[in-house]
Amino acid sequence: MREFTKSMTSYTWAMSLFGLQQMVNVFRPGKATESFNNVTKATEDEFTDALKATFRAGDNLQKGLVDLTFGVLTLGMFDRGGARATSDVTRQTGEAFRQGGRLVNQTVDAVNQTVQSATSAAAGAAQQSAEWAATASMANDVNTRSQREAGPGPASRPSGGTSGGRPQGWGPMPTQGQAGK
Amino acid sequence: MRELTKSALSYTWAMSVFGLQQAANVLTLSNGRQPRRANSACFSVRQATQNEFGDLVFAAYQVGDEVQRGLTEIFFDTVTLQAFNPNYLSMLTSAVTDQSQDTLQTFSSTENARLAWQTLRNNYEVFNLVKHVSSLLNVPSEGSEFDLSKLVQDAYALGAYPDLWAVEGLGHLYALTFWNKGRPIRGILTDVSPEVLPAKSLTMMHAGIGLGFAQQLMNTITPYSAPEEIRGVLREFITLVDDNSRRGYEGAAYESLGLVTRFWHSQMVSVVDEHLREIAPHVLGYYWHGVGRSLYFLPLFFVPGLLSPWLAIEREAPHELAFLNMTAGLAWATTIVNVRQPELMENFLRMRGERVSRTPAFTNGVMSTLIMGIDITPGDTYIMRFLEYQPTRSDARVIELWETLVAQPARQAVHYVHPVLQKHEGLGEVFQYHASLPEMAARLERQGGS
Repeated sequence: MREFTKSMTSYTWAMSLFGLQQMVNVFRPGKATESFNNVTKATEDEFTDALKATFRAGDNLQKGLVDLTFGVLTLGMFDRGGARATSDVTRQTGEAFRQGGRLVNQTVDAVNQTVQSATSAAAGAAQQSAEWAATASMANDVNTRSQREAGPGPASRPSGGTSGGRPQGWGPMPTQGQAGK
Repeated sequence: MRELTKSALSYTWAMSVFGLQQAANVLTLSNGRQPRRANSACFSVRQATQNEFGDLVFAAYQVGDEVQRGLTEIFFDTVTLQAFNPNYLSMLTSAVTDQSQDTLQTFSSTENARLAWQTLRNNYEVFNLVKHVSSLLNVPSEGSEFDLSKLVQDAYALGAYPDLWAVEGLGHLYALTFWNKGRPIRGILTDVSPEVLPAKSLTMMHAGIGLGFAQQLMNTITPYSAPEEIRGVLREFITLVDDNSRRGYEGAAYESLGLVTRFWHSQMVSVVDEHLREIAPHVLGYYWHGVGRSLYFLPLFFVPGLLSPWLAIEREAPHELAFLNMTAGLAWATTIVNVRQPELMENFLRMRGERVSRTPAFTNGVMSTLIMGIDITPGDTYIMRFLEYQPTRSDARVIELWETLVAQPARQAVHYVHPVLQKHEGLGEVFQYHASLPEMAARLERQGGS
C-alpha cells in the first residue's frame, strides 16, 4: 500500500509536470507532438489486449474526426484531396466502429467467461464447503465422542481431528489468503 | 497543428484508458500480483514521461518526488504507529537538527554565503559542460563520420578543468554511436591506436562509455521486472564493459552504472545492489561509488545549504561497503568540481570536517579524484595549486584537518600513487573505495618487481 501510494503520487506529479513541459514545448510543435506520442506509446504498452483494442478504436475515431474538422476549417473539403480525405475519414470511422463492435463482442465474451468461471468456482466452493462441513462435523462427532469418553478437558482444535495431522479440507485456504495480500 | 491536435487527443484518450486499466489492475483481486502490476505500469509510464522533461522540469520533478516519498513514509509510519517508537523519533529529530545546522552554517556569514554561491556557480558550469559537450565539440550528427582523434584534441583544447568533463561526455557520445549501429559492440576502446586515443584520456573515456551503456540498458528494466530480466540486463552491461575496456580501466566504466541508477532510476538502487551482489560482487564497490558521485549532481542537492548530500548518505547507504564507497564518491565529486578554489574545500572542512574525519573514505575520495585529474590533464595547474594551498583564515583545528585529510594524502596521491597505478594498469581502481591507496600502490610495486 505504501509503495502503491508513492507510485501513484509520483505518477500524478510527473503528469502535472508533463503538462507544464508541453506548455513550454508549444513553441516547438514538432517536439510537443513527439513527446505526446512517446508517452502515449509507453502508456499503450501497459494495456491488456481488450483495452488496447478500445484505445485504438477511440484513437482512430478521434483522428478521423480531427482530419474532418481540419478539412472543413481549411475549406479543403471542396477540392479533390478533400473528397479523398472525407472518404478516408469515413472509412477510418467505419473501421473504428467495426473495431468497437468487435471489442463489445470480445468484452461480452470475456464477461460471459468470467461469469461462467465464477459460477463454476462458486459451485466448486459450495461443494468444497459441504465436504469441509462434513469433515468438520465428523471431527466434531469424533471430538465429542472422545470428550465424552475422556471426560471434561480442553477442547481439541478442528485440525486435530484430521487424519495423520494433515490439514485436509484446509488446503485451498492459504492460497486464497496469499491472493488477498 | 493537425498532428499536434491528434497527438494531444491520443494522449488524453490514452490517459483515460490507462485510468481504467489501473482500476482493473488494483481491483482485480483474483491474482496476488495485481498491485505489483499497477505499480509496474505506473513506473513505466512515469519513466517515459520523465524522459520528455527538460532540465528545469526534471529538477522540479525529482525534488517533488523525493519530498513526496519522504512525506509518504512519515505518514505511513505514523499510521502504523512506528513513528512513535523512541528510536524512530530520535533519528527523525537528529536528521532535522543536522540539516538545519548545515543550512544555518552555510548562510551564517556573508563569507560563507559567498563561498556557497561560488560552489553553485561551479556546479552550474560543470552541468553545462556535460550537457552541451556535443555543441561545444561540434560532434557530428548521427550517421556522419565520428572523428575520434580530432574530437579528443578539441576536448583537450578547452583547457584544464573543462577537458575532464568534455572527455567524459565524448566517451558517452562515442558509445552511443556504436549503440545506434546495433550489436555486437566490441573493442570500441581497445581497438583504437594511441595516436587516436591518447592514454591520458582513457579514464574518463571509459567512464563515458559506461555512462552510455548504462543509460541505454537501465531504460529497459523496472523494479517490477522479473529477477531474471534484471540480471540479464546487468550481465549485458558487464559484458559490454569487459568487451570494450582496456585492461585496468574497467572500474571507470562499471562506476557509471551507479551514477545512472541513482540519478535517473532512484527506485532501482537497492534492486541493482541485490542482484549485483549475486551475479557480480566485484562490481559492487564501483557501483556504490557511482551512486555517491551522483548525489553531488542531483537537483535535490544542487544548491548548497538547502539539503546536504552528506546527510543523505547516512540515510541511504544500506551497508558498510555502500557507505564507504558513497562517501568516497561524493568526496570525489566535491573535490574535483571545486578544485580551482581550494578555499571551498577549506570551508567544507570548517563545517563538516569533524564528521567526515570519522571515516577514511573521505580522504580516499579526495586522493582518487586527484589521481584521475592529474592523469587526464598531466601537470594540471589547478591541481598543483590545490596541493600547495595553505589555509590561513581558519582556526588551528581546521588547518590540522586540512593537512591530515586533504593536503598530505593529496600530495602522496599525485606524486606517488598515480605513477604506480599508471605503470601497473591499475587506474580503474580509483573508481572504488580502498582502505589505503598508498598500501595498494606498494603492493602493486612488490608484485610487479617479483
